[in-house]
Amino acid sequence: MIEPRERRGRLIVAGVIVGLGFCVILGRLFQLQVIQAADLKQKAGRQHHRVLTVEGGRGTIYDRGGKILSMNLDVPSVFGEPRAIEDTRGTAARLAGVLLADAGQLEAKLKTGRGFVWLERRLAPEKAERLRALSLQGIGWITEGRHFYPNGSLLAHVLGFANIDNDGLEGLERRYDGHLRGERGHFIVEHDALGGAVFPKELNYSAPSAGKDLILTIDEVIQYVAEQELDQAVTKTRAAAGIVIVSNPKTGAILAMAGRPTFDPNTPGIDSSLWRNRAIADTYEPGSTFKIVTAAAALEEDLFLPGDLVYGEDGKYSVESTVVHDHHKHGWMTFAEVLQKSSNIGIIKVGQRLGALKLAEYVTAFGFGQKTGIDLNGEVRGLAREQEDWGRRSLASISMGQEVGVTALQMISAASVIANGGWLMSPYLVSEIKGPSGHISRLEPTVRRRVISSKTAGMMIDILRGVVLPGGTGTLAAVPGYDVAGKTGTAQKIDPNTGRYSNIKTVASFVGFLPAHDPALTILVVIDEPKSDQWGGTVAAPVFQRIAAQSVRHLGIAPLGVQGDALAMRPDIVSEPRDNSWGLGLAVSLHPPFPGMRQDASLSPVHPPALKSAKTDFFSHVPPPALKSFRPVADERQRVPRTDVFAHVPPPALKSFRPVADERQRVPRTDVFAPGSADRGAR
Amino acid sequence: MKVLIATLLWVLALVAVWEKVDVYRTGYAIEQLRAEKKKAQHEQRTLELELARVTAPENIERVAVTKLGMVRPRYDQVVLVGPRPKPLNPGALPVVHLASH
Repeated sequence: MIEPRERRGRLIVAGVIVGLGFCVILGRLFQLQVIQAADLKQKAGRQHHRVLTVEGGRGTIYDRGGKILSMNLDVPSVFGEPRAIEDTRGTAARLAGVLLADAGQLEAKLKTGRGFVWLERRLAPEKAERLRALSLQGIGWITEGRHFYPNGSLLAHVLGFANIDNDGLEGLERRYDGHLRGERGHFIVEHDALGGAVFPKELNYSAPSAGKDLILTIDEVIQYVAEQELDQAVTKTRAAAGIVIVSNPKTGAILAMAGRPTFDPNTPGIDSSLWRNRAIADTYEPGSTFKIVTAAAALEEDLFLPGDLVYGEDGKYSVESTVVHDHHKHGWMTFAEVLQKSSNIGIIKVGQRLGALKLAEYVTAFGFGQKTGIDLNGEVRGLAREQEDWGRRSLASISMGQEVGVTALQMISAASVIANGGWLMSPYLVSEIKGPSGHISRLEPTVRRRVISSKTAGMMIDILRGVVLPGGTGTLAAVPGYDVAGKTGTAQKIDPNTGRYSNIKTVASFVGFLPAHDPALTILVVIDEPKSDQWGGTVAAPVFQRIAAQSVRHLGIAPLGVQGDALAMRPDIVSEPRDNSWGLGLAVSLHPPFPGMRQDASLSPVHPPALKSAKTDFFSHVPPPALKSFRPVADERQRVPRTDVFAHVPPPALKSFRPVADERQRVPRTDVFAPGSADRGAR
Repeated sequence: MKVLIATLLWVLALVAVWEKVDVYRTGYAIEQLRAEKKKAQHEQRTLELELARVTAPENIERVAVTKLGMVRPRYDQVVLVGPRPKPLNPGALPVVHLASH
């Protein structure tokens, strides 16, 4: 029997112990809930909530018909957790079968002892499927975006590519990186005890924004045809390089742009020389294709008519103590025959009557020595020196396409001036930018300036039609059933060892358009250093012919004598035939080059007010006064109103042009007429 | 009275727990649907890419030439058709009377 006193003492002791216990608990509670509350809350948050960053997918690039040219796809990047793997060798062996990698190297990676190691990033979809099926311990993956180019090397130089971090590095991927790249999104996920996601806290959710899609002016089929034919030509002639551009002369829209050598943007490699877009980054002396500039200037200045006679000096002509030869001896020939036979002497005489000042003005007016403003990075200006920098023989040289350095894009733009009735257009590649919400920004064709009158353009078209007819130098460019106009060019290259024009190395080219009465396509073919043959008329003209023949068939452009349904197939390319003949035996499209194109999309007909006034003079024989007084001055560009402001980069002001001090682009002024070399120099 | 209050508290606690459980259950369902949607979208894009690969001109030509034995047509094998003749309007046709013998 316990004494009441003793019992009380025990109760006090127990009470004190329990009270102390409670005090400890309360103290700990105070420590956790008050003193360490902020830190612990943060720790708990880190354990229960995870902030996920989601990349906005990169935009897709389509051709004009909606075919996918490049597309972003989420693919797994596979990693290993070496500490969690028991059978390293077996795991490496099984992985090697899927990743098509060396088992030994994989095993070495998995034996590093680190907690995390990348095994392969951005797997191809088929590899990813097989990897998922394996379900290996200690092997995991996260998804990352990867850009795929389903056509391989097709259009590689134009598309460019993006790197592993989704940064556009070349081509359109770089130029439009700001549009193509999506915006990152973040959301917070709450985890259960097993680490699985429970549900996102929507209030803390910021959705990722997908990148914008680009719709190009490129036609996948024409691009394929151009690349196929260019491949065959470069292989057959064992050429060093080649370029093909196909454009719509009335809008400046590029339908195809191909270069050789090329690369596959899916695996671009490390040889950056293959990535260069030669159509805009390489300059070459154009040779005889440049004669269209001299001839058009002479016609525009009313110095010649197509029937006027020029004496060919029987193939031998002295200019500033240098003798110039023609490939064939010519006596008297008409102005038109000077181009059809590609007479160097004839065009020099035309240039001499035109004068250096006027020729320099027209060289600039046709866009040489300036960037065209195409929506690609890396475009060069080429070389067109100011007239005061010309040498004694420069007038003669430039008249026949020497002493000037042009890009292929400048050359096709100049030829399109003839084709479209006298307008210099800005070439462009992107016609629409489509946002993730469906908003479409359309980029309209841009007129830079009027260069020659429609009357002059009509006369030039008639003359250039003769180039592909029997007796001309470009007969192999003729497309049966179609009216073709064009010009051959064979330019000797400077031999870097001798500083003189080489007798072996040439640039063979052909630029032309069809149907000549209402051009829908301008095509330029440039073959650099062909070995088996050298002439533009035999190397480049057949390539033009094959590309043109397949393109008109693809576009549904009817041959002569067949009208109606075929023409109606592609109204975006073929404008309605017009009866605008004015006595020279041809009918030319004399409207501004862009109207009547596409009703439903980017190329909606737009008549800029500034051009409407000129249009009233299109049908007159005499060029309008405004055109008579034309001078290629700065800022003459007339921009077509656009539905949204995504203007292609405008070319620099003409007055600001200075020849670049880059030796690779500088054409030596001496030895231009080296005896025995100039006879082939510009045929 | 005490029993009533105790019962009420018990029911309230039950409702609170049930609500919490339901929220979690719905959360799991949302997450599952979100994953399914993402998977479906991914599958759609994969198929679009595959379609682009299959319908690439190079692939079409390869199949046409190697599997189907087709060749590119020559000029003389292509006939472009002109405008269709307009359908005849019966009312505009001349009326022909057959002589009765």
